Amino acid sequence: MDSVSSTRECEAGAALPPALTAVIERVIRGTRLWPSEKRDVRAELESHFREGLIELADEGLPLDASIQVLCESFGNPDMAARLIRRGKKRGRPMLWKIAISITGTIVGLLAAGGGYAAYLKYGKPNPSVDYLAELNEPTELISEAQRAWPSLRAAILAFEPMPQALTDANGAAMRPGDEQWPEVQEWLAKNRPLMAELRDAASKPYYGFIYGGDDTTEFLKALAIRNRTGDIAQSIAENEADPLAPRLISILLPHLAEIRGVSRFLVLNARDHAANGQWESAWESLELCHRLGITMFQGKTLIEQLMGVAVVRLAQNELVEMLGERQGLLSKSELEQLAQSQFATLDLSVLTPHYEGERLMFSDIVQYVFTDDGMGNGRLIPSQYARVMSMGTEAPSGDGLLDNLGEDATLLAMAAQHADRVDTVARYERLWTESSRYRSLPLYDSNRDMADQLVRDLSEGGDAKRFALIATLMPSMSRADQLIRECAMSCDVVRAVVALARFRSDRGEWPAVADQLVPTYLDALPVDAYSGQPIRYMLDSQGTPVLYSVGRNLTDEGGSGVEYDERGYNARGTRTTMDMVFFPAAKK
Amino acid sequence: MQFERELLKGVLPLAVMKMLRQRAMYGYELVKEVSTQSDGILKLGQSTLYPLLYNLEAQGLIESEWRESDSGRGRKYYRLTESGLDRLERDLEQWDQLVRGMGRLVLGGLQPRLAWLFA
Repeated sequence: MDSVSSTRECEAGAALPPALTAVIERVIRGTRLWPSEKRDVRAELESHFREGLIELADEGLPLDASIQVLCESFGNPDMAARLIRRGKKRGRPMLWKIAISITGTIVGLLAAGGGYAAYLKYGKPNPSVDYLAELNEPTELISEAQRAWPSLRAAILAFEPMPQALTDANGAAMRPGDEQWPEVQEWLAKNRPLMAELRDAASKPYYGFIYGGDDTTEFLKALAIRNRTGDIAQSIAENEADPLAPRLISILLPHLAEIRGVSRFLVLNARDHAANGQWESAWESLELCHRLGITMFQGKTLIEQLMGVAVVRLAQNELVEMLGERQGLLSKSELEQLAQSQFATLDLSVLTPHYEGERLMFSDIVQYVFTDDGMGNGRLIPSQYARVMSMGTEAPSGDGLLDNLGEDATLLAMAAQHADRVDTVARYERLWTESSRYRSLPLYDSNRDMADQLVRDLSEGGDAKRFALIATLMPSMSRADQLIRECAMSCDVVRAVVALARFRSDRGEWPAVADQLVPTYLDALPVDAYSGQPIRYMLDSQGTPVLYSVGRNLTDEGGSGVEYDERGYNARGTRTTMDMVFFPAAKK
Repeated sequence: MQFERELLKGVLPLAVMKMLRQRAMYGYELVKEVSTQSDGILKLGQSTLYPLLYNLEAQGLIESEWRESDSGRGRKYYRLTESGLDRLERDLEQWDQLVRGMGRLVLGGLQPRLAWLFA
């Protein structure tokens, strides 16, 4: 075939020479355009090469040479493909461009969000400090002979809880003469052998409870066997073995509920002895209860301290009630004995709240809930945050990104907004320092409310999401501090009540004014924590003395205005916010 | 003559639009006309021409249509649009200023006698 006839065939629409077709195919393949666009470009390039072939044939160039010239003059097909793609895409419809832009943005956001979510979700903590050991260290240094816990532990494990039927019938409030009192006595008799262990515990200067560890696990198992709750013991042991569970928050205080039971036993035991005129035994039982409370107050957690306060108040109230009801039945020596008991001789400074456990617990949680970048900073790990929040309530959520999607999304959103480790710790320290300053003010100082207000501001203000961990974990220390100070005031007032009883025993009448008790029966009058003044004293219309504090409303209602029901609650179902009357005691 | 690519970047669209002001042309014809009318100084690489045409078309400065030639072959003709014409006028004016400025800058100090050519 000569060059002219070949060219004419091309002109007539026959296939282009393979070399030129190859160039076109390479360009078309490289454009990655829509099919319709490819068709258009292909047709145009075919037309271009046909025109070239004819032109060059007209100039007398052989076909092979024409093909070579056209290939060379076309340039780089790959670059042509890229540039054609760019040009054609620019010419696409605006709607397509908008759709692509939106899709690209969404895909980008999803990819970025997904990446960020994975970044947040899959962080791992790197706990490096054994805060549990730090918490236990001072106790570990105390010899077992000086620790109350071993004897207390033995007493608790031998203790028989109050029968359910008695508990349901409010057995703790029963008194000699009540219909079910014989059942109470039967229960008391079963537990009286514990008195030896309780006396031993009360004689020790230190509480000595070791948090966590094998001893607690063994105690839990023994308790579970006694209470027939084996599964709980096992799940607790598993939780303690979990390497991702903050150790301080997972420590358990299984003895707290038991202490409450033992303290009720001691009070009811005292009631029974008093009914039989066995004052020495009654005082001993109440004093053991009081000592038990003071011992518990040495606990490093706030809840132990509050339990201690509750036990102390239980013993005090019973004592004051007995003194009120049994006037004239007590001999001088019995009253002297009472004046030498811990009720009247307690050093009130032991009732100073201590928060080292709370602070260590926060530090421990931080190291389990945040990642560790090796320089003291890190980000919140949502799964660990959820674990801490659900401690003791439910199993932690799954590790898969799609497990519990809604919950995960909420946690991830929370983690994304939460402050980092350094800022969280700094904010906690600042809040602690500021609230401590207000908390240490007298109970009657109105600025003291600022301590709680600071915590409320954090949990309800603009920083609530940024510092959700603090808002959730910061205990109401102001309220705890208030309860402890009320207890200290109450301890001080109990001395005055004993002094009153001794005054009456010596002189046959109540003092007209409280000052008459000083200095023979009291070194100084107790101070009302709610006024800063000496505690209020008056004789009512029947000539009965009333000792009271103006109470939380800081207003003197004359020692009255509170109608207690048989359980010691006022008509609104709450403890009084009016005067706090210490003597005569409300029956509980 | 081989020009620096960056130098040609702004010139080639102007050259193509200038050609299309004369009449509608198809791709291969444009290549030839640019070369001919520039006395062979400007040579349009064909891998550059078509992307350039698609870009101008995307900007609405030119438009295209397939037509059948006398010989029956299909050709895609490009012609200048109204907005392309406006743009060409503006670009030519700028080009004129640019050439004058460059002429003075390059030749003014060296050959004052030739400077009048660019005035």
